[in-house]
Amino acid sequence: MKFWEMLSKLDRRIIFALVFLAVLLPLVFKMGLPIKGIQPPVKAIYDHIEKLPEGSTVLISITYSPSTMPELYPMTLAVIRHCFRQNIKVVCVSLGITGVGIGEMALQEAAKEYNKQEGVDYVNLGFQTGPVTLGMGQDIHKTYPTDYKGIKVAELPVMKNVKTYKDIGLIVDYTASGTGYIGTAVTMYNANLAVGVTAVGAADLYPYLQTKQIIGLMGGLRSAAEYELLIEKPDKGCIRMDSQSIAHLLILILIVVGNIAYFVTRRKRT
Amino acid sequence: MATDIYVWIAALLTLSIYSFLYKDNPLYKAAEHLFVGASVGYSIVITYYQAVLPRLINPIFQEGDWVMIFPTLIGFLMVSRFFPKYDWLSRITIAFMLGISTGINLPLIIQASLLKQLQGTMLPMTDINSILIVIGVLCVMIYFFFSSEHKGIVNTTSKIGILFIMVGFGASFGYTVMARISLLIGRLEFLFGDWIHLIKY
Amino acid sequence: MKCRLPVIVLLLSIISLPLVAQDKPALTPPEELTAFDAPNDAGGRIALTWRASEQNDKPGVSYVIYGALSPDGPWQETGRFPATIGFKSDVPYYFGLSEENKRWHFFEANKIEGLLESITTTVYFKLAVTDGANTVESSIVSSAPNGNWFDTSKVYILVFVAGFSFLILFFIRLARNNPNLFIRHIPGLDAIEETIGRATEMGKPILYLNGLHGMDSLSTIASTSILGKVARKVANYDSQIKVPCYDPIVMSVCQEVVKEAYVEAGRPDAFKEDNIFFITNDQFAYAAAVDGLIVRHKPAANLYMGYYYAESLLIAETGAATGAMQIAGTDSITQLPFFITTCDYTLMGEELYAASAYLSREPLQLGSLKGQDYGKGFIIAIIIVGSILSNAGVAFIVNLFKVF
Repeated sequence: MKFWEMLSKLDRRIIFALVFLAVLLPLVFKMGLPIKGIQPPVKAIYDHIEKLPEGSTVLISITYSPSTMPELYPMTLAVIRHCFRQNIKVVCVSLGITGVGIGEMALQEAAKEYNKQEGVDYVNLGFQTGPVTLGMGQDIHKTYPTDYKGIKVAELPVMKNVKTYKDIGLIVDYTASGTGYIGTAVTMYNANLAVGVTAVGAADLYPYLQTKQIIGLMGGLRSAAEYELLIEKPDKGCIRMDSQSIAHLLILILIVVGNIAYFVTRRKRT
Repeated sequence: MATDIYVWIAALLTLSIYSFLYKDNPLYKAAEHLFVGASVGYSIVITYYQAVLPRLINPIFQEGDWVMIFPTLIGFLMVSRFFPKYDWLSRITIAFMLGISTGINLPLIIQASLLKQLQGTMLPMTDINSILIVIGVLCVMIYFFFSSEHKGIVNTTSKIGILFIMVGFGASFGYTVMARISLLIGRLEFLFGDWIHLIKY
Repeated sequence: MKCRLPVIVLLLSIISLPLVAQDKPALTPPEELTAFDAPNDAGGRIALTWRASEQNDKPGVSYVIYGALSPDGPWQETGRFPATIGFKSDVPYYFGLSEENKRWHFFEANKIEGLLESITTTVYFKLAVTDGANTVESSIVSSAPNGNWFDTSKVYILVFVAGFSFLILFFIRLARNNPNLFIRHIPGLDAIEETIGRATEMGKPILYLNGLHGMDSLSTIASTSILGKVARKVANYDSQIKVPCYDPIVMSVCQEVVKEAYVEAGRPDAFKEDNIFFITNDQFAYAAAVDGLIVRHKPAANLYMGYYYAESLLIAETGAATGAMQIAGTDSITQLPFFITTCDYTLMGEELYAASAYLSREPLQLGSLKGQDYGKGFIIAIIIVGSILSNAGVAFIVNLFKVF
């Protein structure tokens, strides 16, 4: 009984230390745990991009800040890589100020790998104020007069035939929370939308998946790893899944042990 | 160990923020103020170069689009808040913003979040999921019905509603554990990879 | 003998070539091509429809739409798509849900590249069907686009808004005559007064957060409304309230709301504008700053009303660690679990909106709440009837929503 009492009063710093080790050790000593099964909402995004004809355009929208990069950056990079592999043009926008640099980083990294040219195969339009998701439905060129580097959008070959959502094969919104595109791009302009979201926000978006207002959903690191596997380019998402799985296992054990300790000590008290 | 000065700055700032886990201290305070200041400064610079310059200053002074002066004036009314005698003028700007936001959002919310979701709820009950969706939506809506006391059938259905809500919260919890662990992974990768080179790729 | 076989195969192949070519049916010119002004738009769009054809609508065959400003050309390609897609049935908000729509193709032209950014005058169109080797063209049609003042596809929104507005106005009138309209008890609300009293006794401030949404969010509007009631009570108790804001516009609104509350309480002198201040609109920088505030000022009570994201637990956990009484109210479903575990009371979802009406008992808010309740009753009825009908094979109500 003393053991259970000790467990129920376990110092939280010991739990912190255990989680710390559960995350760190698999990063240092790679385990390569298998990632089994691809979730249908992730596969749906992959299939949609696969079916887009060469030369189509995908709009990548970055609505997250560096704080959620560990979850969202791998999936951002994976989708951009997929587009470049398929010779699909990428237009990147940021609905939040801190997303501008993240978009630039992902584009540069993927462009180098697939030998893509800025302004021709991809562009980072950066950040803009006001009702941007609404404005892009009317005229992207008016909403974003210049790109991130100040070059006039009208002069960019990649933007020549991209005026509104109608010219975009898929919007992929990467967001730390909800997406602002459902009400505007999807409802008003019938655009195809997929969302990459932190695991925290994933549950909120499932109703929209069920009503087909979004064509696909990537929620958290697991989805990023799955997408990397789909494009056969395992990267940070897959590597991080070792730590994620071990930490989840530890937390599951802690929940079970903690609950047993709680009920045992409560019965003793009563 | 990293030789890049920026990696060192980022690592030391991360450690300063983590020191809050022990207790509030000057290192945390310094990092907090630096974070707030840097984020506001970054916002101002990006907003100026990406929004104010191409969408306001250039259209007015280079392209002669003088119509832009009117929304600019409405925006400038916010400055009146610094002068107590005229601060009522800022209400015009706020009213403008509220009016536009409501006008844009109301039809879109009704269309995207109400009617589409209603359509998604009224499905033929061919599988367990569609049955659960209908029962769940009805019971949760009854829980949020404020015009009747929770007694009798209303009490029973609202209790079922609470069950559905709690299951939803459980799913959120699970997802959040995943999210938080991912964030920790990111930081540890940086500290033990980019900074002290213990993690190798 | 060995060299004869390939020769025979070659000869057979040559002989069979015309037979293979005969198997592939020839393309037929697209029939009944019509051009008309696209409905419910601001102009600049022309819709084209033509009858689907069994002979043409096969894999490998494409439709190409050409536009010109004169029937003599020059012709410009304005659209191209596989013949197996692009039907009137894809746009039920234009053409309804008739089965016949599956037998008609549809294309919407909104620009003629190189000629016009968007269509403004009469434009001529012709349609070609091609399988790569053969191309067949239709006759020429024309149309001019017009802007519409009213989008008839949105009439149902008008009906919804008008219906709900009528309900709300009706109940506001009812609440004016009878301010004791019944609203069920919400336990979290009683605690607000308790927290203000406690803060006054302890001589410590109350911290009030509005969440991370702007003034266009319902939760922020409800939050500022509750702030008004809380601020009035704070003014009466001669306590202090601090409102760190994430959004500059929300900050301005909050300053107004708190100022008005102090004036209504007869304490305009006690109002300190500096207590309602902007921090930053970076999510985690805001959370770090609020955490710092909580630790340093140790407020007696923390009220978190509005919409929150991942910062919710960071803030509420810090508040709980300082021993403050905490009340949260949010319609952010994903953050509710964290508030429930760290706060003394939590207003879930719509309870946040109800809170304002419950606290004030003002006819305007009471009536609105009652109107919303009956609106919910209406929606519950639609779901029940719609589900029963859809299970009985009658998809009338579900189809009604599909059109929109």
